[in-house]
Amino acid sequence: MIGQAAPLFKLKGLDGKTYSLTEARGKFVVIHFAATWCPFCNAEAPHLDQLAKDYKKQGVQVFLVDVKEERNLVEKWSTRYNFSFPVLLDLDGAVSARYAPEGVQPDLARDEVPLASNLIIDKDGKIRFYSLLNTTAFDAKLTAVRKTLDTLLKSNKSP
Amino acid sequence: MIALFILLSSLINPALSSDIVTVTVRRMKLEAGSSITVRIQLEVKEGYHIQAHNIADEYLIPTSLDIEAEGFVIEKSFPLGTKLRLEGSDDTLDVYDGTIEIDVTLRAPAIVRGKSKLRAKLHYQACDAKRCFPPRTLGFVIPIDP
Repeated sequence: MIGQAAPLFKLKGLDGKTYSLTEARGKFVVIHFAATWCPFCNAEAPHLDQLAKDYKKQGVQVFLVDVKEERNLVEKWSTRYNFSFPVLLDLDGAVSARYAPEGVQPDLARDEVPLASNLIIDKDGKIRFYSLLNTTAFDAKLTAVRKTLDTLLKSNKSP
Repeated sequence: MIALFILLSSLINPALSSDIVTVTVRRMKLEAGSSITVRIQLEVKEGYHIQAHNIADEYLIPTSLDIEAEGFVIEKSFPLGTKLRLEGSDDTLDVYDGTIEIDVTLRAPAIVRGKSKLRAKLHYQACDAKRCFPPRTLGFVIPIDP
């Protein structure tokens, strides 16, 4: 999916507002797909929040997309991390399914494939980074996402 | 007194499996009013792990077992999990892999008429090296013959 246009979405956030990828055009967007029961998502969560804070001034928008869970559960879970960015509810998994690369993990439902994955979408809406979960080379501190963001931000400043 | 025999048998109740966990119940007998300990064996497919029963994180899905058995007194004893360190993180998980045995002590009611079944459900959440699977439930039946 690298280099392809990111599937557009419009999702409700826990704060009641509606967020869309179109409205974030012009910013670098980091998306993390998660579920409250996902141990790797939970391990990444504080690092994702730190990343959001560290890159906010550089115009990076972070979204966490919770996949197919009830609002009350996600709301309670999110208070643990006090996220500084919007937590979006993909209640039927439709958005997550559209972000599943074709032919990957065929024994999972399509909306389950992106769980614990991270994406970077550039200012033109193209996917520039996509890491699916790999528990044997887990990158909880999101070093690869940070490195890619640094590169993209640096090249964006170039004339 | 009506004798009650519980036949927990891999012959009568063959091993039930999802694609990740296989459940086998050893053959045992129980008379009315007495108690036995049933050993329920879980075989977690190689390369996978499931969250242990005793886990600290309230949002993770612990391995648990529900048994519908009206009139029975049920005590369940789960083994401790093994520590799995999440690479690139300070976090550890308590998990089960390989073969796990859950001991279930059943005290039968004094009188039970006719054939019955103990319906059981195993709840678990599994991961392998590249994926985490949503929580799953594996149902199985423990037949009771009077």
